[in-house]
Amino acid sequence: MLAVGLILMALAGPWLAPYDPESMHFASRFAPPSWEFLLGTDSFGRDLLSRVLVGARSTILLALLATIIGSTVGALIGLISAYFGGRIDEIIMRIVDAVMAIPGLLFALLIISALGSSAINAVIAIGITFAPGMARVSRSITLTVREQDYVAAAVARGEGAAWIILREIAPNILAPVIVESTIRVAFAIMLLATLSFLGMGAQPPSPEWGLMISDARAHLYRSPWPVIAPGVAIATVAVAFNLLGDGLRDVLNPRVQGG
Amino acid sequence: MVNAPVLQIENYSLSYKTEHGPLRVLDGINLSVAKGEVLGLVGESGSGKSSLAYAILRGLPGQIASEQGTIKFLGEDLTHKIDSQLQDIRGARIAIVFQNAATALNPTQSLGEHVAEVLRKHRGLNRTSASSRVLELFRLVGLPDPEAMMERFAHEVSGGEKQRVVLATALACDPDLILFDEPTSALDATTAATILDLFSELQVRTQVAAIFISHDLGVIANIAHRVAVIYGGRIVEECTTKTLFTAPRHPYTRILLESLPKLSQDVGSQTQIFLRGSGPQRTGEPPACVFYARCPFHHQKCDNEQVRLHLQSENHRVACVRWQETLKVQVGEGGGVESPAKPDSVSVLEAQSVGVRIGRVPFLNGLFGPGKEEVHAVNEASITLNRGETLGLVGESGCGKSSLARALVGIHRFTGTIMLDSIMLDTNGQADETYRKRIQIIFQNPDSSLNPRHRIGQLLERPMILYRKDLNAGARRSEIARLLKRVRLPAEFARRYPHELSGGEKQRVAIARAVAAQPSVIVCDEITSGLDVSVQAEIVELLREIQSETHVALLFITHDLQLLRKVAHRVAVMYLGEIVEERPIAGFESSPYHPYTEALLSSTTSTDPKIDVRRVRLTGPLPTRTSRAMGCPFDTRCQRRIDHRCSQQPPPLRLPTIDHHISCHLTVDDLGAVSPIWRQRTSEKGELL
Amino acid sequence: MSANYLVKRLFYLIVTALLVSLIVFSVTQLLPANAAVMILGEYATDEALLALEHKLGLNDPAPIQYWRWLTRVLQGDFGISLRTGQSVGPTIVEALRRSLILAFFSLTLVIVIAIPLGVLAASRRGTAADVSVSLVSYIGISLPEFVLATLLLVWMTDQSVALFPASGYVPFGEDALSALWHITLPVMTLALILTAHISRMIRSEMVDTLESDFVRAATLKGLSRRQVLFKHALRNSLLPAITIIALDVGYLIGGIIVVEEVFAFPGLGRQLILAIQNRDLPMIQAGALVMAIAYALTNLFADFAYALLDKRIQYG
Repeated sequence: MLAVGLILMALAGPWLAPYDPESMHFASRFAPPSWEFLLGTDSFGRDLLSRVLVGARSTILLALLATIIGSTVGALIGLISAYFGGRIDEIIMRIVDAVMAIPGLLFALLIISALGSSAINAVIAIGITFAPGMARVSRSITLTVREQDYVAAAVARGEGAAWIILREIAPNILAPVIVESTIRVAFAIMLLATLSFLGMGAQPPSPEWGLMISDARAHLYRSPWPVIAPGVAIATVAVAFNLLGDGLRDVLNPRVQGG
Repeated sequence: MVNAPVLQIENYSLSYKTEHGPLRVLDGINLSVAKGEVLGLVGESGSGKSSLAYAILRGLPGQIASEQGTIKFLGEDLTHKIDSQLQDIRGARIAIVFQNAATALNPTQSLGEHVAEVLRKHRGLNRTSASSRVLELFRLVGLPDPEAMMERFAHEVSGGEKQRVVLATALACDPDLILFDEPTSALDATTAATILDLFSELQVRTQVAAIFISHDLGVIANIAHRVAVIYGGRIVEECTTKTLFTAPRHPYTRILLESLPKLSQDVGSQTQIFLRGSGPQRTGEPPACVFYARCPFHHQKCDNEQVRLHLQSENHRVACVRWQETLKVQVGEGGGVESPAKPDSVSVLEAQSVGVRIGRVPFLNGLFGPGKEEVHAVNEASITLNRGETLGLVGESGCGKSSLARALVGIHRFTGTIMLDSIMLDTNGQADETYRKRIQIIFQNPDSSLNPRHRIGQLLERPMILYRKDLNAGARRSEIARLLKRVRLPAEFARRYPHELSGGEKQRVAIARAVAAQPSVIVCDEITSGLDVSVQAEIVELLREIQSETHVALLFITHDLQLLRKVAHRVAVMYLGEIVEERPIAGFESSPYHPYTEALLSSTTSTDPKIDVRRVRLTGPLPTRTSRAMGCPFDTRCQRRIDHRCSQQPPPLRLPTIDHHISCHLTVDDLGAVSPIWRQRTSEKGELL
Repeated sequence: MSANYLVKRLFYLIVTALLVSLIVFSVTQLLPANAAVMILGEYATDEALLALEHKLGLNDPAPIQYWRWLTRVLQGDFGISLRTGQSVGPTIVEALRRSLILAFFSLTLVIVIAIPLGVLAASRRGTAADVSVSLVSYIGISLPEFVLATLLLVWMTDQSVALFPASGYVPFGEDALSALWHITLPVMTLALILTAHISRMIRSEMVDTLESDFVRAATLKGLSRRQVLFKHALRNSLLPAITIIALDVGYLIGGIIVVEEVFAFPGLGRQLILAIQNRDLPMIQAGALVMAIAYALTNLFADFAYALLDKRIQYG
């Protein structure tokens, strides 16, 4: 229930954003929140509220994109690996383990260092970083599903591998994969912001939240608002997606097990 | 003999909170247990029997909506006790033995400690005295090598041994009352039989009062003095065990007993009644009679007022308005079943010297010396099936019957030859549709054999799309409707998802799916094992009908011998991957038989009061076969083992009659020289009862 | 558990380490279309590019480059930093030491706080205590380290407040108190966030265990609530907890990188960022490799500890 309310909030961001233009008011720099500028202004006098809202669109969409790429690729790898089993499974899993042995942020940084710093590259990097984790999850679920009798029944019917994967197994792993992905989105948002903060992701003057905080660092002591506003935004959206994921998990589980 | 009751439950009712409102779990329970008495509590799954046990111990899971009535233990009402008082009672005065010993034991705690902590908490024993008492208890429950057992952990011992540890824990503080919650359901037939013997013996010795909960009437018959039958949360009948089996009064009890095969009757002369209608109503206003929806004797006067237990005669209480009438069971719907139709002599399936191996050593593991070894699940097994014939395949879990089934259907690779309708099956299990459409399989667990994401209609349509290409979409649809009708399910189920159906209904869908392909052979792999007794009878009946209509051959795999008498023409007994005996079903219980068959027969619990079962008990756990052992597979546990020949030479085939094979070193005469397992009970004067 | 298991596990570690090194190497040196351009920038002259390519052997086939690099690394030679001109090896070691201090303090704090918190929340499920812990954890896991770090920076180090120094590092050998003072903020940041993660996991583990059959059996045996909680439930939940914590070390490493950057703490993370910003290839490779191996080693120890403690694992 809580989740539903927050879905709306999470979606509202990208929707509201276009209505607020990004503009600069040089006169009132570093202003604290007031009626004119609801969240205050930054070092260039830009309205923080507008920047946050516009940034929402880019941040959230980019994070979603990264998650979708990573999840799909990862889930497929896990599914195929678990289905074929044997040597293939072992080899693929060793590689996945090796990639997972490199901590997330580190790996993303490595990829960025190879590709160059930009928002799109950050998305690719995050996608690749997510894939192994998702592969593991998808693999373990597929292993369970593979042992079910209905898969054996399909084999007994002589169904081909493609059929079994697509029609028998995939529908049954969809739910947990989606739940997992939703939670990853929150992580993607944080990772994206972190990368931008470090200068490896979105580049100025993009209103990406991480970048906003990094910009604000130089003038930290004059006004904390340029840090607080985007910071709170990141946290809130991340919480929203986390709750969404948890809510989804609760909703989907009993139905699958009930009978 | 009647003392003050140890436990007295008066008018106890319990409902849980659910999203659909309060759910009635128990309704107006009135029971009492005296010292030294074992009260059996019988009911099908969902009847509320386990909840009663937890209600007594005040350890109910779930949210309680309302609770009424009293549960008096030695005169004190338990429902009013607080946690600290209950702690003193639990484990010390009232103990419980669980169904699944594997999950009831703490995996990180030694077995001895499980018992010791109870002793320390309730008896205040110190370490040394606790240890010696634990040893004593372990010996009492028949655990081998008690000193070593104390240090072992749950995963290192067998199911039977685990259950003994749980029993020891329960007995530790000499409780006044022990609750047994289906303690043998999770065990093998032969292991369960030994454990039950142990229970009986200990109960007689210690004179402890007990409530024994089970769905298995046979088990109850052997261990309880009195029985209470529970349906829909209400007790519908209560009497002595003997009375229950000879002269039951409540319609439900009678139906339950009728659906059990009677050993004393011929297969052909049994009557059948089935439970129709919907299950007991749990929400909303409580109905007058909880059984009204399915009672074949339902009459208007049954709905007038709440039907409760009242005394019929001394020690016999029934909850039925019409208890005084002698109600005749109509041989109507489903009654008068003939014995299975005579099969042809045309051979349909031939499997010769089939071997199946499972287990694969992962590549990297294998580099470091022997990893998990392959198990020889099936070893030189040969079976043949004729058209329209049912071959029953019996054996306990782990004997390889499922592996054999899978090989036959083309799911697993094998060695040897398998030929169906003159088509050879490739040993890798690769087969095209010409083979696959002729043999279908139905699995044990209906929850996992139907894809939860597919609708029933889709599930039924698939085999038709694959194997009956002559049908177009419209023809398929009408065929689906016809199939559903055939298995007595409403046509509109085609739109539903599996989780909306009950276990029995799902299994019928599985049957429909198998029949949809119009096969020559259907393999039924323990399809009735997870179902209630009444539902089992229906399923079996359905199969027989289908067989007489279509002359399909059935390979009926089960561990339940009694069920086979209703459905099979021939029986094959399997042990550790080999077929040790094969014979026609008629006269199945008379010797000569293979020693394992003898043990298996004796572990079946008899619900027929006219039959006595001779006890043969096996010792030791079931071994696993990881290599081609040379001798008889039954060598390690055989109660009639001769000598070294049994371990070293493969047993020859003995043929008491032309269609009866036994593989044993004993000669036919020796094999026949045992008294029958099932014997008609005689009165003191030697007359048949 | 036997020697066989140890050997097997070590073998896996070596295989994984090799794969990791391969991945690190390929991503950094082989992937970019032209590493030399990447290093020198787009405006470098052709001669400079050629010279660099020759010097670094960038035109040789990939496997040869990899082999050359690998053999050098195994001998401890990580090359020369393109930024500072100094030998990479010693720099890395020094930086690693400092980062390890951060890691050590953070982990200790986390273990000491998170596990009891998780247990508390699980045992008082649904009550105010549980909800408040869960709430705080939720926020904790949704907050990126850099946000928290920057916020702390703002609040705690402002001139007027001056609670903690904003940056810098003082070796413990010199002045222990001052050293502690300097690392407080980074450690606090890391610890707070990690605690949120781990206490949540612990809570969820405990909740599952508390609902299991054997815990129920223990309660019905008449054992006190406390006995059941600690002796039975906790003992069984601690085992998976080890694995969880080990896995989260990966997250810790990421956090260290960020925190070192915000607080200008001269550890391995900071070195890595500087290296990436300056396209210092050898430094990037060395730093990444060391971090990844450290992570792998942590997981190895966790596996050993688990195997030692869990009687169920019978790897022969």
